[in-house]
Amino acid sequence: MFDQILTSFFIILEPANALAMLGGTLLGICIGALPGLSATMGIAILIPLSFGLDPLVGLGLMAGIYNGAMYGGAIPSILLGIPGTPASVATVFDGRPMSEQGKGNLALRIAVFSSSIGGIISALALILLAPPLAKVTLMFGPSDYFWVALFGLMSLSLLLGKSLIKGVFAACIGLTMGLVGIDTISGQERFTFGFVELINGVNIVVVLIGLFGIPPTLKLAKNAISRSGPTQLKKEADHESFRTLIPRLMPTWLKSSCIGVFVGLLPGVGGNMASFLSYNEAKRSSRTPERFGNGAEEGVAAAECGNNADNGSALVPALTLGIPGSSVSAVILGGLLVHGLQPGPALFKENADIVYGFMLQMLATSILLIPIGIIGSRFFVKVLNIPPAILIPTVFSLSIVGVYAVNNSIFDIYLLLVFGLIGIILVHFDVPLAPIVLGVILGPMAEENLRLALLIGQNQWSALFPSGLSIGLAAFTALVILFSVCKPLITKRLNQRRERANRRPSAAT
Amino acid sequence: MWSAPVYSYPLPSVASVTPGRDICEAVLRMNESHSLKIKSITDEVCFSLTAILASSYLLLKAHEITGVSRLFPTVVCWIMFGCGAIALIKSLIAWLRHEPFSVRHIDVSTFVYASYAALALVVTILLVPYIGFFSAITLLLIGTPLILKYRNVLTILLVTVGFEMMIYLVFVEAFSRRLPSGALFH
Repeated sequence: MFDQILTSFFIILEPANALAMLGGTLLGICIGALPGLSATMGIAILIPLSFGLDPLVGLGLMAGIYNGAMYGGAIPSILLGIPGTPASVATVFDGRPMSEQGKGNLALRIAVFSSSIGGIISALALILLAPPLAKVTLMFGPSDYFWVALFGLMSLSLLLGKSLIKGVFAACIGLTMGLVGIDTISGQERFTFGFVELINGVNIVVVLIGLFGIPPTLKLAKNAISRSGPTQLKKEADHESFRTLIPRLMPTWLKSSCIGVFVGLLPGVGGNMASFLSYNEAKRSSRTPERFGNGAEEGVAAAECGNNADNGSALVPALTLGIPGSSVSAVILGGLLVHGLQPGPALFKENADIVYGFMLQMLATSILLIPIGIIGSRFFVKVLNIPPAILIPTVFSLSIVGVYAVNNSIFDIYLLLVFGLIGIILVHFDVPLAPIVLGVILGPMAEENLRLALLIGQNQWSALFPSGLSIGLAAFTALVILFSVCKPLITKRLNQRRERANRRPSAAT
Repeated sequence: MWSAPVYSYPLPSVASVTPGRDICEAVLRMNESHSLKIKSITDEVCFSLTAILASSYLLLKAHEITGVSRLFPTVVCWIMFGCGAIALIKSLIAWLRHEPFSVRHIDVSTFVYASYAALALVVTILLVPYIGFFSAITLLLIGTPLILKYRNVLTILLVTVGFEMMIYLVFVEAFSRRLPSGALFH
């Protein structure tokens, strides 16, 4: 493993790879800094750009965008009080007050160091945890893969959205999209609606750009007409230097990194949860919790460190099992597939230099955040001044060219419209979009392995439980479903109990 | 996926709103501040009906498939149908129980300008096969900012030229990709 890591290390230092990481990080910070644009959308739209590139160059771009955007969200959070990404909502709590107190630059500096530290620890976790987990997956048979696919699908669709029903519905839409085309086993056409162009199925890039690119771009139209004035930065007041703060922030960084890494490993939880949990923990363990919300440096550090610490670890299940832990990792998974890299143990065997290279790129782009963030913070603020009226057609044009470049097909551009429309409708109804991507990716895998397992077991349903591993995975899946179904009931009961307890003392008085 | 907090938020007066008998009348109306009030119950009913209709259509399509290939799509479509049916029953129960529900305000101007942007995209996509990619996106890049009342013509022109040059260099020159040709671009 260490030989492969060393080989990959030298590969990622090649000029093209280094340039991709640098460019990706810069671009990611700009994307994250623009409220309404996210890492998911940035990666989805730029996947087609990486077609002609070497896989590692393309993946370097993605790694840079991922880490950069997670930090970039802190810039508008701190300077304008507008979270650039959902993961940076907690950064607003203390970042904005710091900015109002004239400590905007200090807050940005804390944010960039915290993001970088969180990212580095998370990338190390990815490098250390992914290879052994991939070895475990070598023991998997068709039935195990079926349960893994079902577990991934269920966990993300049930845990990600606000509504259980909508999550399952979204996963089913994804599964249906994944079924479009010729059935590889029987050779029958399914859901092609008479279009010859659909025989080979729907390309994941078209789905990604349609769902994640079009709806948020249309939402930018609001800002196009009610644009607030240029960023007004307050004059910097005399304040503590960053160096004196380091010993005080160290425990926060360590705790938040651990929380972020753990949260990232759980499918469907995501960076915003890591950020909030880290912030709450920093506040809980602080000797002066009253400072939180009024410009506490630890608040910014915890939120930013937590959300970046989730980046690498969310890729552990994605690379080893094909189960992404978040919507960004689902899109990255799509990017891997576009380059012909199938997640799983084979990826670590056949494309070891690429997969280890990608993990090292996650580490390198986290380190790159520090110099780029420090030098660029003043310039990145200018990104906030790009008029949405200019941004909207630019993103649309990139989407069109990106989708066309996949198969040189005009039909794909029409499909973009269809998926864009589906995305708009689903966003309106608060249906989570990530399970759709997961359904497209895991659907064929689930069906193929289910049919293979049944074929091996001569159509006996017991063929789905041939070993302890299969039973364990099935039990896990059942637990996730049970937990998701019971959670609202338990929360309701607890709320009722709390209300009753609150009423009693008031009645007594 | 992150979207800017544009219009979806519960109002403080959520609990004070009570469902009326005529959903259609009570649910969607315009107030003085030019915003559409949509009650969550309407959203839920619309979602469930959409889900039921879409899954029914897909179920019909799934039944056209024969043999073992039909099993998986049919199960998936039935689950979708079930989701729609459960959502419909839940929202009807909530309506019958007169449960308080949230209201979302949609700014009319936001909706109108988003529609303009969407229309610009649709027109561009329809024009691409006829006038070619570069001609179509030139119209998009110049037209959309003007529709959205952005009047800095110099910036628009600079962005249009710069962006098209970037696309040409990256896709056509560097990656040898052929972009759609038409009457105005070959």
